[in-house]
Amino acid sequence: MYYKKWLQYLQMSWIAINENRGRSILTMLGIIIGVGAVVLMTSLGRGAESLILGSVSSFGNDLIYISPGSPDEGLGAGSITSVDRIKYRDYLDLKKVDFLQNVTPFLVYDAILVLADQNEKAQVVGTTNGYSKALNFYPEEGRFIEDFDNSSAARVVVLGYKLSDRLFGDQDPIDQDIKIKGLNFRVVGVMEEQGGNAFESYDDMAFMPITTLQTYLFGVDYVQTIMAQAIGSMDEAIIQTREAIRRIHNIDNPTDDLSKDDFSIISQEQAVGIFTSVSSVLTLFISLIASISLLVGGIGIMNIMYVSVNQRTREIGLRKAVGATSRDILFQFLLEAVVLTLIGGFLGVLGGLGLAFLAARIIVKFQSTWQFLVNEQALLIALIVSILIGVIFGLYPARKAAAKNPIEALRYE
Amino acid sequence: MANKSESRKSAHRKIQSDERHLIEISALKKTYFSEGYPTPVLHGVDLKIKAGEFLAIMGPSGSGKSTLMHILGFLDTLSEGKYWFDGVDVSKLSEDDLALIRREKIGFVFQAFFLLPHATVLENVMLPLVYSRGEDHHRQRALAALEAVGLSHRVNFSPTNLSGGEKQRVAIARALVNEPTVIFADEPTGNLDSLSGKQVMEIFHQLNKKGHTIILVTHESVTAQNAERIVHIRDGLIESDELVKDRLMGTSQYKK
Repeated sequence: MYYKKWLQYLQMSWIAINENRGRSILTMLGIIIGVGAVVLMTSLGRGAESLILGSVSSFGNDLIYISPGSPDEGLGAGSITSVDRIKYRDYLDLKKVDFLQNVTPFLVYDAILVLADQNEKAQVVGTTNGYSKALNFYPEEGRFIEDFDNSSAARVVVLGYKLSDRLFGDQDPIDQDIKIKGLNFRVVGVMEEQGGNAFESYDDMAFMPITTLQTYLFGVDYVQTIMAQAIGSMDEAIIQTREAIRRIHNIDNPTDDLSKDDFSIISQEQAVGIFTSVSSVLTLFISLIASISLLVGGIGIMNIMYVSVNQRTREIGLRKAVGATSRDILFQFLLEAVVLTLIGGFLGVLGGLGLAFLAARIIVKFQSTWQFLVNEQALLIALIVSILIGVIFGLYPARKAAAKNPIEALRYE
Repeated sequence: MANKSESRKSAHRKIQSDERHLIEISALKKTYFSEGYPTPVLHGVDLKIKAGEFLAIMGPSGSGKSTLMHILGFLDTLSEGKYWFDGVDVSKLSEDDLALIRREKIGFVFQAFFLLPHATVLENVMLPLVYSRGEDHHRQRALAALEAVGLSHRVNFSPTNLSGGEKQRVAIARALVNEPTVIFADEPTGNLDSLSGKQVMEIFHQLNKKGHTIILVTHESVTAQNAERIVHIRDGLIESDELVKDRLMGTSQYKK
């Protein structure tokens, strides 16, 4: 029997909200934006996280990356003054170190590949044979870059799966020539379909000997990053690598002060850690902004509930006259505020999910393995927070309604 | 005036032992406080009403008749004195207890109807049942109440599409739906044309015949003539209390 009363309250709330639909939606806007932002950000964060973790598991987390510039200058990037600090000969020296395997340098170049009258924009990765082994990523047809390609700076190229498909279609690309910057490069292999990792899709790339890229396209003698697989302990491998490069670069650093180095080393795990912490800081930041929006939304709800209580003073008087207790009135108005914020929360969730879905559709054009993921926990929290805002900001107006004296309320003009 | 009141009080106590009244108040005083200053409205009222009576409380505005109705109808509390309802002392009840009595024993009809504009006629009539802990059949009970006021054909209408007379009949149906012991009507014909007013009063007569106690508050003597007993209030005290036929015959005050 008791639920009937609540059903009635719910119906009354709906009537009151629907009666002033425009005003209600404006009131809910703060809640909608706040909840929507949180849902959107957590969904994108989840997608990015899954992508990163996916690439870690497909490549293994025994990889380390050696980049120019000390860690102070920003990990993996290097500043303008230090960008040239890692050379091809560092790679040749590190190859001799026995706690690393599949040591491989790389340098990335944005190029336009030309075949007859067809142009394809693609990233060209200059690298060595170890790249394929370290990433566990092999050619489906033909061969990958071999050491002799690098020693002679041979003008050969290996195409990513989709890039090859776009350029050659059904034709066999092996031993065909393509042009980059007006120079001919012979296709010697096509890679297996790989998907992608967090930052690029290998299927859309081309690979060539790093010495060829340096000589013919880039005109530089440095490499961007040297990648290697640690044998045994990761920590030990990093320490040993660091000491080896200091020796090669003649850096005297007995105190192990990383800011004195002209290079930095991070592991795949650390890279993921950095990404995760960046993304969680970002999520926190967005959540803070969202909570301001929710606060403003809550104040809007409170304001509109005060107006509603005043407008319906005589209704409150009548309800009391026919036997409603102060508690009945309190619950009725509280429920109305909660219904308002909960609808706002639902719209926010729908809007946030819609935007996240749209974003995923757009990202997938650049990053084929991006997934549209939903953070169910965030949805639940968003809805609970919506209810709480209704209760917190609806409480004072509802108490004001409940405290009305029935006679004065009935006389209210 | 004071003497009259005193003598009535002693008569009153005598009667109390002989016969039970539905409503019995003695030496009732009500004082309002605004910004700390007391404004006395009722100065000591004694009144007894039997179940099944049709009583009119008459008086000019400011006389205290509405305040008296509010206290009798449990919308307000008294400052001093005693109030027995159905033999129970209800002088010092909590707000929630008063709400409970209103819910179960009282029906109100107001001059301004007070219908919810966005609910249907039926939903308006069902409103008091929302708060009752009673059994089911809310819809059937509301339909029966609407039939009793001759509005079965307006069940799903919006109150905004009804005439004034029809609105007041909906309000009467709403007052009836919880089968109250007493129906209070505060200037029920005040906003109606004379024909609609007559129809509404006719409904009150029928309800009274069926056994409902009706207490009518009005300042119009024409309306008050519908009652069988008229209590005049002036300046917070009962000025006269007479049966309508007694008065028509020019005889004395109501004694019972």
